[in-house]
Amino acid sequence: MKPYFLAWHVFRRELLDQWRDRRTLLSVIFLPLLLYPIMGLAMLQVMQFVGEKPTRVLVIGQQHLQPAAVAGPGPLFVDDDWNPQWLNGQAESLAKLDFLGEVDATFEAAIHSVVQEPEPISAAAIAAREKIQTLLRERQADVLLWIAPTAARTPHDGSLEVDPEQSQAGRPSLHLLQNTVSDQSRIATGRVEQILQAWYIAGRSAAAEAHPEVANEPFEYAASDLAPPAQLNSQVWSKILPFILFLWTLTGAFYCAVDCCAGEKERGTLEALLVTPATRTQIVLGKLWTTMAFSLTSGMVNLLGTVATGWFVSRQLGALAAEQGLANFGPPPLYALAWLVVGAVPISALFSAISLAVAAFARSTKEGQHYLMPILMVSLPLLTLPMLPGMQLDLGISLIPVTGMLFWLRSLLEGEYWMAARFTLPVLLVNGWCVYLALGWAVYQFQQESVLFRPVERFSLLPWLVTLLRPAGPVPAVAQVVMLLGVVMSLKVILTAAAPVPSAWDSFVWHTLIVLVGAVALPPIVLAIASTGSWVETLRLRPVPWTTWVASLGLAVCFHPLILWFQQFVMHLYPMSMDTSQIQQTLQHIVGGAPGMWAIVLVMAIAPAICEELTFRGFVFSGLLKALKPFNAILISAILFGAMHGLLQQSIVATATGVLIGFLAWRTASLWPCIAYHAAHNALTLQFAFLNPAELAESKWLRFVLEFEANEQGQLIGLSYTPWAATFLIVCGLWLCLYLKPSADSKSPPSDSGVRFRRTVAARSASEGIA
Amino acid sequence: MIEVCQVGKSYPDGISSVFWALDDVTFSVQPSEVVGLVGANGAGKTSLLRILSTVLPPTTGDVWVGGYHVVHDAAAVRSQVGFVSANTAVYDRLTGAEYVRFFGNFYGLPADELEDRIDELFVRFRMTGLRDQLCGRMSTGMKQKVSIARALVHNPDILIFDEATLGLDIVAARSVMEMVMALREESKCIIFSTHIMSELERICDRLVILHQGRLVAEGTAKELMDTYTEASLEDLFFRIISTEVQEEALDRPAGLAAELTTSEVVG
Repeated sequence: MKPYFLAWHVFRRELLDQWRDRRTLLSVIFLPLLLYPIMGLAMLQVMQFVGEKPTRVLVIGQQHLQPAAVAGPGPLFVDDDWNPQWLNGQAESLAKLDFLGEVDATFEAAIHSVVQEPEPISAAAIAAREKIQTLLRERQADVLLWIAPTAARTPHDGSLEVDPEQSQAGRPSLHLLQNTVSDQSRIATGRVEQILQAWYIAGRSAAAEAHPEVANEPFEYAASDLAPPAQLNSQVWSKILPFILFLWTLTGAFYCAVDCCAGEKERGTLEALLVTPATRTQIVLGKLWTTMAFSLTSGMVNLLGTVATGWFVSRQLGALAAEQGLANFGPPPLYALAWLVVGAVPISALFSAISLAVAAFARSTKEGQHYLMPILMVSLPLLTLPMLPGMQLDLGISLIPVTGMLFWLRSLLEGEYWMAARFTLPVLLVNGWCVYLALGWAVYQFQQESVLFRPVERFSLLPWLVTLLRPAGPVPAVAQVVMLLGVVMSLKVILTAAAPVPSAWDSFVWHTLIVLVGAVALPPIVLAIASTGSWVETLRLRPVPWTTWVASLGLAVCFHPLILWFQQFVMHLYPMSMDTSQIQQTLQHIVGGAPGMWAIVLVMAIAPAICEELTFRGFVFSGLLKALKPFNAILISAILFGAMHGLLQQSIVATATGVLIGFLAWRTASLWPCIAYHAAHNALTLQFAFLNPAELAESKWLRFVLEFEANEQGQLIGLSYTPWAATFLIVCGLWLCLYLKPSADSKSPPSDSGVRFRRTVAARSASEGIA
Repeated sequence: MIEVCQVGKSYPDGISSVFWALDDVTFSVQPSEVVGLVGANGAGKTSLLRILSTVLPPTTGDVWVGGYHVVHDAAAVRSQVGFVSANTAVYDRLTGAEYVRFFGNFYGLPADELEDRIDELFVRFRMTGLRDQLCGRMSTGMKQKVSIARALVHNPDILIFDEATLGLDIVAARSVMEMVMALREESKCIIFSTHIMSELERICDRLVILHQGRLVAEGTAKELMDTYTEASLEDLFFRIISTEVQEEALDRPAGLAAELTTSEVVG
């Protein structure tokens, strides 16, 4: 016998064992394949937040610059804005200017004293410092650019004195007042300094040409940091500590949940618990509290470790850090611990509930541990968002689970109590709602016998694929729906990359049609024919009376004000990044080359409506409706429909629209009304995008229905329905919903044509794991 | 005491088909009666017992335990039932008394009453030595005895034993059987599932025989042996199952009827 034969023998058996474990294969092979496209989509959504945002610069004392501007290389400001000469390609809007017109001399004197005294003693300086700090904190401005009267100094009476000699020399003195605790303020400082540097270099060259014998400095520059010392210290820790706490809270919750659920199943002690009078909800609650206790302990112990290490390191390196210019690096503030405990409880509840639901699904602890990575992958973008520069707590951020809580904690740690107080309610409501949903999911998992008593599964790839493609019923099974979504997603990525990049209308049409038909329409048609008993039933191609067609078109019109309002609300919550806006402008430019509105409607309204509905309200919805309650089928198909749209804002609005179309699909049991609604909705949205304000102003009828706002260039910048028109349309829409009676199909139980009674010896052995 | 009416139970099998583990099973158990549930592996015994203890809902049919419906009044059913499975798993890091106390608390017993009950059970079944011993350090037989104490802590009227002696050595199995016999003396309603015919002969008033999810015979051991003219329960069981398999084979299309083998008969 060869020496390695037995080792090879053991290896083969182990390999066979793993190969036949469906969940292991799913985690090791299929999950990564799915995970990276999903992560790509998530990154796109995160990039929405990362894109450059405009900063506001408040300029005080512009009048002191005038002589220098004339004498120097060119003015710093032109028409109350930056001189484009010094922008170096930087978009003007990135450092938007506000000029403080009339500044009283006392305020200017106070600013001067703030600049002169890093730690103000005089009452006036303290008051001025607080006033400027408030301006910066409340984001009325990100930085203040103070152009001081040359060589100004503050005498004791508080008035400002000007040194006449230096003033005549015409060298201006520029002071930038920033708050280094705020990312946005630091970004704004960087942008303004770039502009000033360009102006400085040009000024020096001009001065050297004029007076080569004298090395003349064009202006004096200084920056002052107005961040309160306590906030300076907390700035670094306010990002690090919540991240560490949340990460360990999640990890602690997960391992405990796996032991509480999968471990209990594996050890065989669960059945005795299920026979007691405790309800499944009570059992889950008990396990939730255990998981929370361990999750909180894990988070807090790690936090204490970090804080203790922080103290030690900051004490050891304090002097060195100051030398290196890292003045902000100090020991973590102890009050931070109290706030972190407050924030840790709801987030621990959320992570514990999610972990329990996921762990309940696992048959063994080994399998349960495979599920940690996907949970981490989903959570990490939410945990790292607050680490990105330039982001602050606002309503939109507060509505994002986990992230909102992290920002809320960060505000508390930075001493921004007012900001934290304003968003406490949305943050707690969103996280509370997520805990409720996750807990409901965990209880649901504990009520599923297929989850609690899942037998050992043997997996063979080829028979599984054959089963997946074998028509087993008139409509697809959930596994076939998942397969379709995987195919659609992969093809969309491949075809989007392979199709020619649109640069003009013709190439845009080709690109759109290739992606839509190839990736979105063909897969459901092919799979419906190949893998289901009835492709007509799967795609829900049942004819409907003409009145239903009309009602569907009417519904799209009637609910358009609602969707438009929701879209504007979403855009307010999550404004488009500048990069995305530029892409959209490019797209608008391309679409502007279309031969007419009919072509735009055909390519951008009707074609997407047909293709997307075949997938989502056809194949996906019929498959989900077979396995789930109608409400869940509508909601999940809508979320999937939303997720296929690239941008976060589009995804949210598409999900809301998907719910309405899903309702229509369920009520009418046909795809045609859905296509009609979708196409009409798209067409209306496109029509709105191309409305001409001049035409709007002329038409009495349109003015009765629509309210609009145009800018000085005559471009439409705001459009909405008048309250009267919106109310009338929505009431009509609700009436139409009642008019659409539930179809017989929507009430019938799931088809049982796929049910087969199997009484073979093989089936008996298959049941061993259950019975 | 227990009414099982046309009960069916199916499980998903593959993507869109189902496997029926129980099909149209009907029988009843009277108070103070001990009924033996017999069947080969995969006959549906555990599914049926899990339905009786409300862990699983039936797919079709109705079941009443102690006058309560297992789906609509599950909590009331659970408070009357004690369930012991073949799985001897217990919480390894609890002692015998802690384990029984943990489950006793689910039934809302007052603390002193619960302690008295725990003392009584440990003394009665001669396992006082296990009281303070960690479950993880107990032998399989000891664990099963603690499990039985756990199932009896709330003094239920109905007891369900699902292959409670499976995997136990002869001493431990006898010890468990003695516990069941003692409960029989207390006029408890007991359903006892096992493969061991001698155990059935010793304790059961009546037998219910399942084969591939269907009830194929029901009656006292004597009645069944007389009907099938067999001298022992083992022969009786094999005979009944063989008859069922033969009938199935005859139903198959011509040419496919396979020769019956012992392995096919017993699964």
